[in-house]
Amino acid sequence: MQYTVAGAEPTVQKYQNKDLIVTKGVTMEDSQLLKGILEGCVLAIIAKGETYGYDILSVLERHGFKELQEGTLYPVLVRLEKKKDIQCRIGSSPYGPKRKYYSITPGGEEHLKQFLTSYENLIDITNSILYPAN
Amino acid sequence: MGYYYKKEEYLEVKKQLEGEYAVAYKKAAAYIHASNLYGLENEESCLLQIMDDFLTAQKEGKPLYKIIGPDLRRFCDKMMKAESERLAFGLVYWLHTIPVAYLLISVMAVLETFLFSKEKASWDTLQFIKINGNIILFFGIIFLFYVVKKLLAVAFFHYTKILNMVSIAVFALTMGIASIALETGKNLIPVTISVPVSLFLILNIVSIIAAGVSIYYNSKHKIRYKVVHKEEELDEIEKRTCPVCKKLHDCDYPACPYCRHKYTDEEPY
Repeated sequence: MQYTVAGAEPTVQKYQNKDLIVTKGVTMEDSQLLKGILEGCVLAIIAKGETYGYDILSVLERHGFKELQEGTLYPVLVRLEKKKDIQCRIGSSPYGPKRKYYSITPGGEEHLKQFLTSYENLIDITNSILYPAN
Repeated sequence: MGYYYKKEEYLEVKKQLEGEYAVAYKKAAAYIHASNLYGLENEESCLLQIMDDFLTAQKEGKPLYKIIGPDLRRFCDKMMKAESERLAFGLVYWLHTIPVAYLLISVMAVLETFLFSKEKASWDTLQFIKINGNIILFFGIIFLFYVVKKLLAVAFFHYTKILNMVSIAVFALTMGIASIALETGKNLIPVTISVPVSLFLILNIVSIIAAGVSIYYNSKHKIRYKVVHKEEELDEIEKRTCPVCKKLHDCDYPACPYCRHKYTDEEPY
């Protein structure tokens, strides 16, 4: 199994006497893991300021989501919009066609706070199971 | 929004695409146009999104697979499905289509019963409205056309010109066959459905209400879209020059859309 440790060089760790390879970047084999956190990550990016789909994809890629495509990101944006966590406006693009710009709503900010709390709790719990203090 | 394919903006912007992006966009546009079952709004919105992404990625020199993944058709399917969910057009479209189709059938059945039938009925003695086989066949052919449209889009995905030609040919053939099916006297399917008048009227009332609700929802979305679009056109937004790439853009961008230089509060306009 592979998972992300942001900023780390590839290393090998022991877990239950098996070699666990820790590499940078998230692979698509971890799609279930990805589904749970992608909405929160996208919301966090949009919370920093109004942005558009391609820019969000670029930010995610810079942080390690190397295999993510627009076809995966766009349904996430649609879900967030339907939940009214983000709002969309049609604006101009420097290249010609109209572009959708997304910004966070007050409801979205609340949900982001809840996500961050849940995420931190989950990390603590998971780490205590995977790396028990001996 | 208008029919996007005919807009000058579309044609001008499309010329900017080059190489693998031009080829991929041509295939995507033909596929989405041929296989779209969700309505024109969904199609145009999809194409705008794809075109903007392709242009931006092309300018940055990003390879196509980073945007679409390994399968272009699957990418198009995901975009169309997501767009239909965004506009809630999946449900609204069928809420609009099925009652409207039923209302058309009922109008044709009433005309057949009172005008075209050899035994003309009157409201005083009428107990059943008859929907004969020709009407059923007509709508069956229309429905079949949509199914064939989708299959053709999948089969000819990599052959854009053939797809366009075959789509037009199938459409013409469908309309021809459907018209022949409706012609009085040629009862190709010897089936008649007799609907009690009371049930017929109830179904019509329900269909009118459903169609009215979907038209109202549809027009509300279009009004909102037009207001947003118009505000953007009327706004005389002040421009600013990016200190890094020296390109001009609207001053309300939090970051330069070209080089992504993030503005701080200290940087003047």
